[in-house]
Amino acid sequence: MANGNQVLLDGDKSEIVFSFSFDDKAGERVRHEARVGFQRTLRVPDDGKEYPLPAGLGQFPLFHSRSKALRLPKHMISRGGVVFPIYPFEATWMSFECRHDLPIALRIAAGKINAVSGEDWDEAVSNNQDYVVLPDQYWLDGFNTGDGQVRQFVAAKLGANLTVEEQLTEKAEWGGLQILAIPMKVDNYQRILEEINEEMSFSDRVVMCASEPSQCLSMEMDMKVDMGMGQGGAIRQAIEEDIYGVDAWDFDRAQRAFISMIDARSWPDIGGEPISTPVTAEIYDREGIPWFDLEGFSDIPKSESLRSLKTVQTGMVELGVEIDEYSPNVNVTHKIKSRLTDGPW
Amino acid sequence: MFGSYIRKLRKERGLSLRKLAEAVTVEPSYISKVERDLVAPPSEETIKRISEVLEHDADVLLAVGGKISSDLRQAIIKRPELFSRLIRVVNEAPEDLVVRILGEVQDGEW
Repeated sequence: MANGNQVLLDGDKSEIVFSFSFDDKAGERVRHEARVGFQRTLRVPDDGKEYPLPAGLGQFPLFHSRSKALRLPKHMISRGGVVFPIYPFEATWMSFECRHDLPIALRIAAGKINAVSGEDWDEAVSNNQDYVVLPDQYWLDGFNTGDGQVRQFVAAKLGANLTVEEQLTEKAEWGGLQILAIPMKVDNYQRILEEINEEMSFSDRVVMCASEPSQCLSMEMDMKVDMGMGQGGAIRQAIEEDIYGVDAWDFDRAQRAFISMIDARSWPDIGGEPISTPVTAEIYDREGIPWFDLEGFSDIPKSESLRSLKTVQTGMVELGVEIDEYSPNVNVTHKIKSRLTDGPW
Repeated sequence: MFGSYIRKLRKERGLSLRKLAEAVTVEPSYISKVERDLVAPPSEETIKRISEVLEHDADVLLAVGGKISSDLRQAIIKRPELFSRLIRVVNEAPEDLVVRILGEVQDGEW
């Protein structure tokens, strides 16, 4: 902490803040950060079609997993980090913000499976790009299945072989999400500070939405409240290429956070306030909530292992579970084209 | 207090007294005396070196040794009223509230 590198929770904005600092060439301390939030969103249909980006409908609330106000399972407390409640089959996308345009790389995993490469969690130096680079990457909606497409992050309870972790490791051990934030080597930052360019602009993807009334679905409290991430429908999104190269990053100063996910139905039993139920396709259509299309600059190779997995919906069909309510028909209307615009530099 | 704290950390890291002394570039006999609280806690610079080797927060080690790092001292001197008020408020607040105010996300075993 004394060196100014730390992980914080901004409770007001419900964002995890990875904060770093370094000395510029004049010896002045420069502090910068990457912010990560988890947006509630519509789960896009898993029907073989490719969808544009659904809107963000507000951040999931984040809590310290060691908060004494919550009665979380012991294993979640021992992992530290933060926790958020999410309903089974609810979707989310990750929003990123990078202060001062000083790049930070994020290695993101679900159930300790890298969401970009499909490899096991690792905190060592990368040989290939298995991370996203901020500020070029504004959002991440799912697992990298390649060719400018991701499979949406869809929450599922551990134990039914619906999550990516369970399918790749045959274990339901971790669940949740994991993030390693990697700053650049200081000399790279010093160079970038001298060349800092004009900010890129893009459309805001978060909209206000009339939320469903909160429901208090108290369930019998057991230890089976862990949620992991499975794959949902296909969404058009590029994982932007790292223009700096793998050697630019300083893994010695990297910081990590474990984000536990807990079944929102059990949240009141744990000591939290009831959580609003997910937005349905019906509400999305009725409210005229727009879809977004972001044309990125470049994409990185697909992950074969992530591409070969079954989706949550396929898994549910195999289990013989009625999933009508989880496969909504949705009309893609009010589409907003949002193209990255570069400034002079 | 400081000595037993260091000894516990060293054991947790599986380091011998000699190895720690070597890494901190002091005599093993000195570390031995420090761990038995036979001498006053080391200087700020030495405590910071110990914190690096034991991978422990330097500010915490300094505080356990009854010291305060020079940058924190400077910060307090710069805004003495604010910091004295802050410390008194934090001192009386429940730990959970302090964690929420600070926002610090603690890492764990995974």
